[in-house]
Amino acid sequence: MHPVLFIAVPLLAAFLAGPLSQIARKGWLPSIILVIAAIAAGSMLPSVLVQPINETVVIAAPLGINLYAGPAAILLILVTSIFGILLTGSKELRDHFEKSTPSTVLALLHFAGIFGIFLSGDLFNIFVFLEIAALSAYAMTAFSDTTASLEGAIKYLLAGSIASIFLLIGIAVIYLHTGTLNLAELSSTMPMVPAAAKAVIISAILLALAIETELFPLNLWVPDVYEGSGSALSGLFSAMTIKATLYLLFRVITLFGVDQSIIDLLIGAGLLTMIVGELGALRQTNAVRMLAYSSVAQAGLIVAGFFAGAHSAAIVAMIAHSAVKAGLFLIIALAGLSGSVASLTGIGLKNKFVGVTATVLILSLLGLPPFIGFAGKLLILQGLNSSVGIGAVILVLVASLVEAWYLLKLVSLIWKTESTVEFSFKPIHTVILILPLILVIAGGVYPKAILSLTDKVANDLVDIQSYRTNVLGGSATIESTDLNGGTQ
Amino acid sequence: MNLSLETVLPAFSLMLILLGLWGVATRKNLIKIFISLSIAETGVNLLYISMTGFVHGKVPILADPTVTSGYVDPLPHAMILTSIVIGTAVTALGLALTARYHERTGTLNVTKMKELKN
Repeated sequence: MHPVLFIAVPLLAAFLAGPLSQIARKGWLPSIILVIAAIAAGSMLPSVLVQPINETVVIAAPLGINLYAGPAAILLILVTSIFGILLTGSKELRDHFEKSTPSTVLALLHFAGIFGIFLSGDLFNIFVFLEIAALSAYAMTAFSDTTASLEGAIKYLLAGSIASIFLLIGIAVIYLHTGTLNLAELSSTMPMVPAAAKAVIISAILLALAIETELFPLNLWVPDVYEGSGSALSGLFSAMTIKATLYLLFRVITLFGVDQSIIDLLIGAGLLTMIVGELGALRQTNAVRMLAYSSVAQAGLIVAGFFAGAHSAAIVAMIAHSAVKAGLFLIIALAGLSGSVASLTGIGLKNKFVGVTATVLILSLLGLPPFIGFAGKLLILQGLNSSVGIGAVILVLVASLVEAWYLLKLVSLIWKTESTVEFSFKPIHTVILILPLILVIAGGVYPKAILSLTDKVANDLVDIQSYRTNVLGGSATIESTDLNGGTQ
Repeated sequence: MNLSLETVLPAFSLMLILLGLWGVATRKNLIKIFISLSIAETGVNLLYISMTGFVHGKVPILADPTVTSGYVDPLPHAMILTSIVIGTAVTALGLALTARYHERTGTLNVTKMKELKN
């Protein structure tokens, strides 16, 4: 199985979207592509865990287009595809896909971009795939063609363009000083770059990635984009897009081997993002906007956790967050309401299954046992405690209290008796909620099974030496100061 | 002081980038914001070109197989071609969204974007 197919198949499907939509009717085409990607990733995962696949299109690495399908990339493709299906299969998005072929094309290009980010072993290709994913995301934000969605799309486009300018500046300086853009080569040549140039590179790339991963204070556009794009697309961005940019941040920063002060800065930014996100969510009356702030906060916690050394926990938290947000945004989309928090009153009594699922997902988001969120949060807390200190742990717990305040209010609303609106959930639409429900419960009851997997995945992200050997072959034994030691 | 093209170009490109970013940050009119964005993108493109050392180099086309040195680095040129295409797409999409937004609201002023607020 060639990793390049993860990119080629969605791209090809995008170009053939017209005729293919006649076969895969009713807007199912993007979901079918995601199912294929999920099956392919799932079948590749066992072998990739043992031996990562390194594919070079054209010439030999470091020349040519280098794709690296390691455990982290394949697992995240699997997770994001599975939970992406929840949203692409929702009535709201399928209506868009059915009405116009261009929206199908945009969704497929978005998937190609995201899978490309996961698989690319080369900075410039990463930039190209990031732009493909971003450009399609800007246009998708404007799907509903309301003033709010246009406003969200314009803000998204401006934020993303600034990020890409900084990314390009970083890439230019890297190329000037090292003559390569291959990540594996860079991991050995970066320590030889002069300090001043390295400072420019790190600040430019960090600025770009901080905008993309929604870190404070560069995330002011996020809630607007989510609210403007509507619940189903917000779910897609939460379940897929942030996961790709977070992976990119982790991959690039670990391979570059940055100083401890930068790591500390990232942990600080992550914790600050978490606090700001939770406080922002607290005062929202729009459920989509509330969950958008919560996504920002979770991304902050994941970043802080990863750079504090809780690598495996950060991966668990990423998986858990994908599942939970996909489910919750789908429920809001299914309810088909204005999205205001008050309008969710009583949906639990109208449909017990939806109510129970929403409650379980919210409790997992809060990090309560026996759900998967608990394992993630606990291990992140352990990592923060050992590398930053008790202060960071207290900060996370305070943020969790704030989180509990608005999330539990949401739960009590869901089970409130006096319902004002009529809901009609079709069983066929809600049955897919079983996917996140199973993952959240199974992962919470048997955290060992998930953790044994994520340990290997996290190792793939932080073990620079084996990444180098896998990509460049046996010749990659260039001695360098392994700056990653600081993060472990 | 020797002001050759090679020393001036990086400084000039940096100036264009800063000018563009300043425009994005301070302009209120959406179209002016997209013009500023294009200026910044042009600056980035020039930055790539400035590091290829094109002043003394030869065009990187292998006319004579025995000559293998003295060419300019073709890779930044290839990258910038991609970047120009992406930049054009971003500008086109941005202006299309702006046109639609203007159709709806009759304004191009970003400070009047009030639909999505806390």
